[in-house]
Amino acid sequence: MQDNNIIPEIFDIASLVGTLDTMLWIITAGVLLIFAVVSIILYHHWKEYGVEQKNVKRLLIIYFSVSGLLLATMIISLLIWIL
Amino acid sequence: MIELYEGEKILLKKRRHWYAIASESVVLVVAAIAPLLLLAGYFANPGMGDALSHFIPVVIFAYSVWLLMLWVLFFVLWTDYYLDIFIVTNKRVIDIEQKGLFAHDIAETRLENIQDVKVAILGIIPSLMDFGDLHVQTAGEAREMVIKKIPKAHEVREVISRELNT
Repeated sequence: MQDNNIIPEIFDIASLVGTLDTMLWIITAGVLLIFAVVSIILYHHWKEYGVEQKNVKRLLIIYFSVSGLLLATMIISLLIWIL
Repeated sequence: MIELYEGEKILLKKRRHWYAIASESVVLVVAAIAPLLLLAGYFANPGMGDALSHFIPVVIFAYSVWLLMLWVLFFVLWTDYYLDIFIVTNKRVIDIEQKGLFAHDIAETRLENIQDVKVAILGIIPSLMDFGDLHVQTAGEAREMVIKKIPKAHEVREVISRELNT
């Protein structure tokens, strides 16, 4: 016998939003992990192989300030959505 | 980091021409702008914007993630560009090449081992912007050192030739 509840369940907004929240948290965790790993690798390269060390400090400031701004925007918009 | 020998002086340091990193970055700029154009088109459509307006925080979240990934990718490209450097000293030439994130190659040859230095500038853009490939032929195991897209390649060749003749 066919289950008539399948269609309403698929279009249940509450469960969709719940799934979206979970997805957003998973994406956030994934992004933070990728960002941390790549940043450590880049930092190692700049420190270890950079010929002009005086530029490395400037590079770090630019890289981490823009990244920090984007991460903050990401987290704030996530919190606005969830709260 | 390069350690210099006693009495060794750096005569010049050259990275690839800025055109190299700029041409690679264009794709990232287009990728950064494209979602904004899509959204503008979406909001311009009557009725469609209302449906999306409820999800504005999610849209901002997604766009921030997208920009962050592009930003990190740009720095991966930039690191590849920044760490590739060609150094001429009064004793040797050194070619440092970063290949992706996990390979780093340093080739050097003493000036007395250099047999010939050639410059190849091929194409309209390299001719207009004055960059090209520098070929350093040596007597060593690695017979040729090729430094690509080097700015003012003829000047670099002249510096090496002058140093060979002193």
